[in-house]
Amino acid sequence: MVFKQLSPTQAKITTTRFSKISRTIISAILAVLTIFMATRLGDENYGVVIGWAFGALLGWHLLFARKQIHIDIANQTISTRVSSIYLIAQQDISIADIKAFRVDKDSTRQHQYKLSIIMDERLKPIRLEFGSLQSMNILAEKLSDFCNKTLLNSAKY
Amino acid sequence: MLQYSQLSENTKVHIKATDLPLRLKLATKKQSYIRALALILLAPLLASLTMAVTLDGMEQTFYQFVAGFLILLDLVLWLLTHTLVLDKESDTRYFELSFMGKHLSKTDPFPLSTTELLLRRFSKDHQQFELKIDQLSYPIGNFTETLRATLFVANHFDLQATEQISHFPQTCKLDEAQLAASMLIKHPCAANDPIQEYPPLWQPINFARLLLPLPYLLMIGIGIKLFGGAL
Repeated sequence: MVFKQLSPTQAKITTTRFSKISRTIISAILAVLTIFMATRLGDENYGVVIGWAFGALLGWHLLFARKQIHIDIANQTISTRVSSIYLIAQQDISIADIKAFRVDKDSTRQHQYKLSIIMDERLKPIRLEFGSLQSMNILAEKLSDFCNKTLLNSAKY
Repeated sequence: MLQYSQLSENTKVHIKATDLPLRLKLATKKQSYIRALALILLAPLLASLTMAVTLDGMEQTFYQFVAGFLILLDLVLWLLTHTLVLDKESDTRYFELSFMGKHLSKTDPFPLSTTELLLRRFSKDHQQFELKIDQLSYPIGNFTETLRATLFVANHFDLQATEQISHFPQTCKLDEAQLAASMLIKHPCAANDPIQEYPPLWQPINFARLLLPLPYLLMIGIGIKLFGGAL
């Protein structure tokens, strides 16, 4: 996950170019396979059609699913949007209410670190991004500089 | 001066009384990895024990050796401990690896007074409280028991305790009166100060939206089958 500043008041967090290209290649292969199977569907029974539909759903999401995190200082929002041509999930966070950013350990994910946004200290922190310690630390620093909020040093171990 | 017996059960899970007047041994992350590995090894151990009993001939001997080896390995891992030691006798803190209580090796000692002691809210959900001792954090429970644990360690080893509760996000020195006051102020006022709770990004309905193209794809598939079959 990298932080890209678009203008003095706007920025976004996106995936690296390498992961974009590799995902496009894999999803293109799956798309070709799906279309090829579609031409053979005439001979198969209904069970295969249902299986094909599920496979096509997977291919659709693999090809089109995107998570966009947009940071707007002028409107004071951080909006996260998960879409796959159509909108799947969206979350808007007001920057003014943010108290701090922090990198925490996360045992539920592969790379084990997450970037948290802390609103009120009595509330559970909001998890924004996941990744390795180094990438989370870099992202947290850039984000806290851009939004002008404190960065708590937590997970350095 | 807090006595060990005044600490709560939750605290005693982390702060054990062995060696106590002189040194405090705390479990580390490596310790949890070692224990996790010992537990995971039980699976191949049980499998090879079953094989050693049910098969015969050459295979049985092989599995008997494997089971014996795994039992030995598991025993070694179970008896190995990696702890953070706060040593009052030599006024240092260090990490120590020991086997069955006997010291094996230790890392470079640092002066005890440089140990950082922090009382703060549990980083996962901010509902409970935890005690952070120099890079390692131990979630304990509610405010009173964690405060007692912090004071116990601070008094026993002459450390300066800090806290990150009264003036979040800043860390400041632990002052009991100020801390108690800030805890009282924050809790009953919830009615006057509505906290805007942000719903998480992924809620159950979002998972249902993932399946949205499915009916259309099913119709396309059935359509292709009917046309393809008819042609």
